[in-house]
Amino acid sequence: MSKKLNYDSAYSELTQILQDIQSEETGLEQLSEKLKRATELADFCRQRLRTIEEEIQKIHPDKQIEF
Amino acid sequence: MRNSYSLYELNEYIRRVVALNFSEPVWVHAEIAQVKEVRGNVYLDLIHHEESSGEVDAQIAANIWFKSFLFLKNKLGPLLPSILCAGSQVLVKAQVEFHERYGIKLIIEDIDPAYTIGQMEINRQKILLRLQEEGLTEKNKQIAIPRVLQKIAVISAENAAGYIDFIQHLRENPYGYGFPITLFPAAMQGQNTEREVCAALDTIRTKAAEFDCVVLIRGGGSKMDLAWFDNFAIGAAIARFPIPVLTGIGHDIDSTVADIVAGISCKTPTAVADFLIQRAGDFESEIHQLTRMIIQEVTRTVRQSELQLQQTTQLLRLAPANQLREGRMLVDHCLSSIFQKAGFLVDRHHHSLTQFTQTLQLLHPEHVLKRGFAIIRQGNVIVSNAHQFHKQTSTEIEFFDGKITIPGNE
Repeated sequence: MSKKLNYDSAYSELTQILQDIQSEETGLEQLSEKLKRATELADFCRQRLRTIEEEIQKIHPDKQIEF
Repeated sequence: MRNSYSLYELNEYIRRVVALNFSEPVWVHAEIAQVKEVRGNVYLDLIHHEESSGEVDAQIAANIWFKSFLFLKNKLGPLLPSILCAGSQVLVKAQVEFHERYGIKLIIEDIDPAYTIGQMEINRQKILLRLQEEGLTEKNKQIAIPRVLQKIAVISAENAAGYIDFIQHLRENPYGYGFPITLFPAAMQGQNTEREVCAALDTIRTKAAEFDCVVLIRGGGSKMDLAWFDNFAIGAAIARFPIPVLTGIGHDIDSTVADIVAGISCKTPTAVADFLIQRAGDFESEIHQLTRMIIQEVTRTVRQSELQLQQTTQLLRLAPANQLREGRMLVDHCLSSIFQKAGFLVDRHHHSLTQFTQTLQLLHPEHVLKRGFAIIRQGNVIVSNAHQFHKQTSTEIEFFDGKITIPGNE
């Protein structure tokens, strides 16, 4: 995973993979590679969301934010 | 020596002529120039002014003897001293008397007060007309009156009942307002009224900035007592005064020249006090009302801001959560779509392969031979068309279940 990856670029890459697979440009040989990458990206995105959530809760220690 | 009379004879003769010609008393109208009372008798000087120049063109001494004076006191009551003063226009019933030693004299027996009152009214009207002609009638009324009249210069007589009432009324005002009062004493009736009131006004004028208004008050009195304020000099001084002048002179029905030109005219000294208290009270209640309105408005604005803040906070509280939730949903959806699609792709390839395999199986020679086809070989070469077939050569025919050989004609 590239070091520059952030939520937006990760999500953007994830949707690109979806588009590629939907347009059937992806050959079967690449498919497993792409799925592996997509899983990585999705995990990264979820992790980022969790981190952001924790950061927001730190900013509002009185837990005004309702999750 | 010529024929002559002694002075006594002459005067006696004059006395007889006068007595003969003035057997009855006559009504005379004149102005009182001087008056004094000595031991119950009244001694006066009556004069007449020449109309255009104003110079005295006739004068005579007059007496009211003790008995007539008692009669007049009973008849006129408090009016009498007002009529019997210098400057008064009077209509008197008098006996013309000539005394050999003391000369001619009017012995007053009666006075018609209606004449004096009428003359005073005429005088008053003249003064009012002159004030109007000089543009003074409305002058003091045009001065803006401060919202609160508190620092007050009073012109009155120190021990006058009107002044004492005024002070007491102001002091006992129910709101507890303080009214700093400075008294400028002046005669409130009699010949000194004009001079002293004007002098008091002049004194106040030099320190007008220290006062909110001038109050000119005297209690009730006879119409003639109050007539001292039917005076041009006083009227003009009030009219030209740089701060508002308030008057409270006499009773309800009286309206002197001073009242007419004053900025505000009240009926009595007490009424002036009421006016001042009322004005201060109105101002204070207006302030209270404004304060209430400001508090209401501020409270309303604060409440509105609080509500807005609450709404915004609520939105802020929900917004990140919504965004995160949406993010998660998008990521999950995207990934599951990818996997779903990938699954479809793999399935389709599987399906194609299966079909292909089935086709291949159908095309296998074993299957073809079973359907009744046979392979014809000549010298290990498959004969696939008629031209290749040689009748003389031995031929091998392969069926699905075995081979047969047909010898040739060689």
